[in-house]
Amino acid sequence: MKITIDGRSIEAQGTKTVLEVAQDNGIYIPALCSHPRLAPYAACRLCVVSIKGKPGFQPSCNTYPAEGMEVVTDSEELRLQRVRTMELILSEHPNACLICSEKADCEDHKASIRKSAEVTGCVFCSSNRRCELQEIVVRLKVDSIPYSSVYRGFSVRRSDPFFIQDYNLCILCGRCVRICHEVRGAAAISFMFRGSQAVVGTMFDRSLMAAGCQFCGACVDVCPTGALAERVGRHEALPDAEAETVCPYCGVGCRLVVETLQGRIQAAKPAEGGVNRGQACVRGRFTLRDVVYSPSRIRRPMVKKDGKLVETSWEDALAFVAGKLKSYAGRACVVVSSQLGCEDLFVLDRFAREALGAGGAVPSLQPSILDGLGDLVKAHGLKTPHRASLADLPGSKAILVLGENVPVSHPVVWVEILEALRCGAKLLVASHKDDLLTRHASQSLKIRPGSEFYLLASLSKVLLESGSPQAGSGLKGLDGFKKSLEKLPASCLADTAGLQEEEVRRLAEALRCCGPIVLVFGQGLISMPWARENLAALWDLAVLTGARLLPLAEESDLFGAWLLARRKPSGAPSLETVLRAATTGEIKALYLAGPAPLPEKHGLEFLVVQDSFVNEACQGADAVLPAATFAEAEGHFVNLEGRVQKSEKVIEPVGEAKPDWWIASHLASRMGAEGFGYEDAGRIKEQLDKEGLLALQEEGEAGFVPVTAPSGGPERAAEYPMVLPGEYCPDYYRTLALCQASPDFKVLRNPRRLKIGPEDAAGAGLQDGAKARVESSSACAAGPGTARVKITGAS
Amino acid sequence: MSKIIRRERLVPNLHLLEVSAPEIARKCLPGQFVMIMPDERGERIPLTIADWDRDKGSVTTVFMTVGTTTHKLARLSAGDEVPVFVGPLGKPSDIRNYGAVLCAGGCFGIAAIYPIARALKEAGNKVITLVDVKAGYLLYWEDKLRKVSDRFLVSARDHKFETKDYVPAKIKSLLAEGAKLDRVVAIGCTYLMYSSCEATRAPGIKTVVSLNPIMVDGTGMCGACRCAVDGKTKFACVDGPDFDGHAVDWNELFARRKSYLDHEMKSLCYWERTRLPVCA
Repeated sequence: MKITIDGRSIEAQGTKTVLEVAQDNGIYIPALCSHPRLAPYAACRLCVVSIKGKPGFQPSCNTYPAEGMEVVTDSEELRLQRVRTMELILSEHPNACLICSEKADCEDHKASIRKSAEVTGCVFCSSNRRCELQEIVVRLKVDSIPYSSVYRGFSVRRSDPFFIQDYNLCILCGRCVRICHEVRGAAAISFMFRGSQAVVGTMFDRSLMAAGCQFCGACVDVCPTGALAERVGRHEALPDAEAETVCPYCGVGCRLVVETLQGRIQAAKPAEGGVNRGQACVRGRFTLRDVVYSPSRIRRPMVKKDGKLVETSWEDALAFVAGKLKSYAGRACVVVSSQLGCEDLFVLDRFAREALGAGGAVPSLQPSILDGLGDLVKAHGLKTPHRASLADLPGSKAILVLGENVPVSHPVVWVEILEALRCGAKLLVASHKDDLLTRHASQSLKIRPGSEFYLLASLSKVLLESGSPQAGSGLKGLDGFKKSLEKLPASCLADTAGLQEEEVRRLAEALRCCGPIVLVFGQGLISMPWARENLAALWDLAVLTGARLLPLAEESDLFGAWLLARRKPSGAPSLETVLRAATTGEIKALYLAGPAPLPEKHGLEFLVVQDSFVNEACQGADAVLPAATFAEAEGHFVNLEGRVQKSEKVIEPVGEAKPDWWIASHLASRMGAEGFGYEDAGRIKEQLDKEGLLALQEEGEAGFVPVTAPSGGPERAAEYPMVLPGEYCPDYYRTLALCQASPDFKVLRNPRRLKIGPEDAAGAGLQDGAKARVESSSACAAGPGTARVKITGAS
Repeated sequence: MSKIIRRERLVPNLHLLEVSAPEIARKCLPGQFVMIMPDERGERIPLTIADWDRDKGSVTTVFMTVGTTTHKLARLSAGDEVPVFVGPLGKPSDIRNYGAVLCAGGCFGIAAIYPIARALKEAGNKVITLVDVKAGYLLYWEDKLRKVSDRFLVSARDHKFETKDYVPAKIKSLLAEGAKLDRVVAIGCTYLMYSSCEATRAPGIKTVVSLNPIMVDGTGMCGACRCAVDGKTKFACVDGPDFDGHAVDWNELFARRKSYLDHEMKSLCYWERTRLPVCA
C-alpha cells in the first residue's frame, strides 16, 4: 500500500508499524519503549505523529499503515509535545549532565568519576555516550527541565551475578520486562506497584537468581539507559573497536559482536542479524572475557626436562615434539575438540593421518548425535530425514523435544521454540524431570530416564494402527519397519517408559496435526548403550510424520567435525578405542587437542597437550603447546543447521599462543609431511571449499529403518539401583569449565551439584546440601553420560 | 588503629566518616587534611577535614565513592577500625579578615569549605557561600553552612534553587550585580576549582583552591602530589593544599590526575568482582 510520510509517498506493508516504516525510510522519530523484537507498547509517547483525519497525536509504534494514510512526523507542535514528554521522563532520571552548560568541557575532565558507586549524572554512568536518552535530548534540543529532579532512592542491587540493577536510572519503558516475558519466556521480572511507585522488580523482591532469571542478558541489551549494567568492566572506558565472531560454546553458532579496548576484550553482545537474531545466552554474553583471560591460559610452549615442564621457545618445542613423534608414527593418535574451527580440525586431521599414520583425528565428543544419524545412513543406504533450520521452528505446528533441557543447553533454540508457541505451535516434551521446558509444554510426558526408545516406538505404533499420517506411506522399508515394530513385545512399550497408553495416544494425536513438525533432540538421546535404537526409532517417527529433525549439536563445530569426518576411511578409531589403546599400551604417543579423560595409569610413552588452558592432562605431558582461542584466530564454524559461518580474529593471541592449524602444520612439515605450508587460515578454507568438504550433500532415498528393542545396560541393576541421567550442557570451552573461569557463572551453575528425589535422598541417608558419593557401573568415556549408579553419603 | 564513630551516606555517592582521633582533633585547623587507609592492604588517600569535635576527640571527613578505596570506606560502619588515620597534615588555610569572601564548594567540597567559612566568619569576614549541586537531592549540610554564612546560595541544574548556573557563571553574575568580593575560596572537583579561577582571573580577585592531586604519603616524601604553581614545583601535601588558583598549571594537574585511570578502573572492577558478594 502507499502512504505519505512528511509529504513523501512511501510503499508500506501492513505488518510494519508507521514507526518501522518511517525508520526503514530514514525518517527519524524518537522512541524509547519500542524494540524490533517486542510487541507495540506505546508507553513512552515520544513517537507520536499526526495522522490526517485522526484527532490529536497517535503513537506511531502502535499504529499500522492504511492505504492513503497521511502522516506528519515533524512539526513545531509535535516537537513541543515530545519535549514536554521528555522533560517528564527525565524528571525521574538523573538529568543534570544532560542539560548542563558545561557538559562539553566536563566530559574531558571528569573521566575518573565513571568509577562512582551511584549514578547522579551521565559522567558517572557506564552508559555515558551510548545512552538513548542522551541521543534524544540532543535531537530534541532539550536544554532545561522545569521540574525538580526526583531521585527515587533505590539501593543499587549488586548481589546477583553478571549485571547490576540501578532502578534510579530506570524510565519504566518496560523493554526489559517485555523481552524477559515475550522473547525469553523467563518472566523473572515484572512491574511492581503502581503510579509514581512503579518499579521493575521481582516477586517478593527476591534476587534475580531466586526469581528464575537465566542471565541471558537480553534485558541489559535492550535497556535504553544505564539501569542495567554488566558487572565486569562497568567502570572501564568505552570500547575502541569491535569485531564479529561466532560464539565458541554450543552448536547454535550465535553471532556475537566482541567489543575491545586497546586490544583487550571488554564485552560480547549478540549481533542483530544472523542465526541468533539479536539474542544470546549467559555463556556467550557474559563469559567470553573471563575465558580468554583466564589465569589458566597457557602462555608459552613447555617441554619436559628432568621430569618438569619448563618454558621454551616455539622453535625448540616444535623441534622436540616433531622429533619425538616421528619415532611413534603408526603408534600415535590425535584427539581434537569439536569447539575448534574447521580449518584447525582439517589440518589436525591431515596431521594425524599424513604425519602420524593414524586413522585421523578423533573428536573428543564422540559418538555424537550426528555420528549416530550418519551410521544409520551408512547401514541402510537411506537419506537422513529432512533437517530443520532454526527458522523452521516459528512456523511449525508441533515441536517434540527429547533428550535435552533446551532452555539451559541451547537457550537461543529455546527462544525460537517460544516464538513458535506464540504463533500457536504445540510443544510436546518427554522428560524425566520438571523444568522450564515442561512448564511451557502443551503436553508433557514424564518418562523413565533412558526409556525414550519405548515412547518413540509406541508413538509410531499408535500412528500406524490408526492409519495415518500419510507422510511415510509408500516409502522404502515401511513393511520392514512395521514388522520390526510388531516384534517388540506389546507390554514393553508405553509401560516400560512409565506411561499410560492414553498419554501416548494423546501425544500421537498432537503429532497427527496438519502442519510442519520439528523433532528437537540432543545428546541425552544417545547417552544410553542403546543410542542406535533410540535414533532409529526417532528416524522412523520423523519419516512417518514428515517431521524435520533438529539435532542439537553440543559443540560449536560439531557439525563441521562430522562433515570432515565423512572423508575418513571406515574404521577410524573412536575415542573409547583410543583411550583403551592408550591404557593397554597399544598406542605409545597421544596428541591431545581436546579434552580426553585419560586414565591415571596408561601405557603412553609420549603425551603432547595442545590447548589454550592448563588441564589435568598437562601434569603428565611431555610437551604443552599454547593454542589460540576462538577470539585470537580467524576460522569457520558449522552450526547445527549446517550453516558455515566465519569467525573474525578479535584480538592478538594471549602470550605466545598460536592457532591450532599453525601448530599442527608446522609439526607436520617438520616431520616430513608435504602440503602443510599454509600461510593463513584463508588458504585452508580455500582448500576446504575446493574439495567441497563443508558442503552437506545428502543423497539417497527416503525410507524407514527397522527398530530393535534395546538390550544391554541394566545387568547390574541390583548393585547399582539408580539411573543417573547425563545432563549435557556445553558449559566449557575446550578443557576449561566455565564455572572455573567465571566466578559469576559458578554461582549460576555448579556442575558438582547432584539433584535427587526426596525419597531416594532419604534412602541414601542424604540431606539437602550434603556431600554425596556416586559410584557407577561403567564410566562414560567422555562427558557426562547416563549411567547406573549407587549413591551414598560421603564424609 | 582508629575507630569509626559514624559512617553515613549523606546523599548519593557522598559519605560522612567520623573517626575517633583525639590528637588530630586537638590540633587540626581549617584547610588541613588527614591520610587514611581503609584496610591494611589498601592505598593511602588524603581526605580534607570537614569538621572536628575537640571535646569528643573526633574528626569528620566527607568523601565521594569514586574508586576502590572510597568504595571500601563506604562499606565501613561505626565500630570498625581503619589502620591508618594520620594528621593533621598540610598547611592550614590563611584565615584573616579580608572583607567579603565567597566560599564556593561542590561535591565533597561542600563539607570541606565548611570549617574555612566558619573560621572566616569568626575572623569578621562577610561570608557568601555558594554551593553547587547537580540536583536538589544532592545538597547536604545546608543548615550548618547557613549558620556560618551571611549569604547562602545554591546552584543546581534542576531549577530547585534560584539558579541553575554553574559556579563560574554565578560568580560572574554576582559581580555583575555589583557584589564586592575580596577573595574567593573554591573547593571541589578539579574542574570546579579551575573554572572558578577562570571566572575570577579577569576581575583580579584572589582565588584560593585546595588542590587534590594523587597523594601517597602526605608528608612530602614521595612527591606524587607534585604540581606546578607559579612555574615552580610544589608538593600539595606540605606546600599546600591551598594555593593561589591563578598560578596553578591546571593542564598539568588534570593530566596527572588521570595518570593511573586505567589501573584505577581495573582495581575497582577487580575489587567489585572478588570482594562484593554474589548471592547463590
